[in-house]
Amino acid sequence: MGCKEFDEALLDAVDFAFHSLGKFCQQTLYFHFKKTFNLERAEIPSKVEEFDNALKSIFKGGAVFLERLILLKLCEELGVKFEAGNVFDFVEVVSEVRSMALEKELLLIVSNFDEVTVVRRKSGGGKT
Amino acid sequence: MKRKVSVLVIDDDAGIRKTLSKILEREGYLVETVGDGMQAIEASRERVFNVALIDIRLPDMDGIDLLDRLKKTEPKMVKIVITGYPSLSNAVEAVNKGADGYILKPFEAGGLLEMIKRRLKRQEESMKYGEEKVVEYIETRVRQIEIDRCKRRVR
Repeated sequence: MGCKEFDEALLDAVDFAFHSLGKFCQQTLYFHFKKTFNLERAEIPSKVEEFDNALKSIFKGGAVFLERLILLKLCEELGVKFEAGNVFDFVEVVSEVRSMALEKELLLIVSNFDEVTVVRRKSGGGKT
Repeated sequence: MKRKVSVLVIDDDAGIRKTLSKILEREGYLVETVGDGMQAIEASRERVFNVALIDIRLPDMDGIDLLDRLKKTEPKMVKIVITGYPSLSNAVEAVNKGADGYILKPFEAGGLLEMIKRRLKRQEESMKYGEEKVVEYIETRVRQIEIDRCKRRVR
């Protein structure tokens, strides 16, 4: 999992949450994000705070339902276990999930290196 | 790509569960089956279903009570009650508790499928209406935001 993959997963999660309101709603939201908030879809991962503010400007208290949906989908996509309480800071949680996902990938790489090392020891007749 | 319609079958009779699965899957529906009310509540918490087929007699709770609980948590889900013990009071109660349909056992596959299709069409129309309302809301909010920005600039 690189930064690019994380960004793609986040965009997929945003698509999913917006699409839950209907395809036309999804298009309308992206249109107004660009026109009124100067925020392109592709920029969302690098401008999470702006995205959060725009969403809250439009939906006020209702934004939390979409944000929760985004986080649920994102965590599902990344295989990261994360439970947000009733009150959460979307920007902080996204940042935490990003760290968790990148850390998970790092651990996976390290464990794969161990596996490679073990195989080499065996095939090298005890030599490393 | 259009998402498949998912159906939750709740019946304690394994034979009925299997038969319904076959009939529905042949029609292209995604089917999940459970044997009692608690499993149904759990499944509906974890996944989204478009339709629930509820047997009126379940081992752990009354099908009508389950209908009532699902109505509160999944108001948009199409809920069809299936019963082998028809009575007028059961039918009236089911409708009062929000059932979208009432089917008697033994049932014909064609009749059940037709009922599901009709109810799904109604669900789709209601969703479309809801979507229009959300778009209307978004447009209104954005206009308001723009007006507020203009006012701030003038000050």
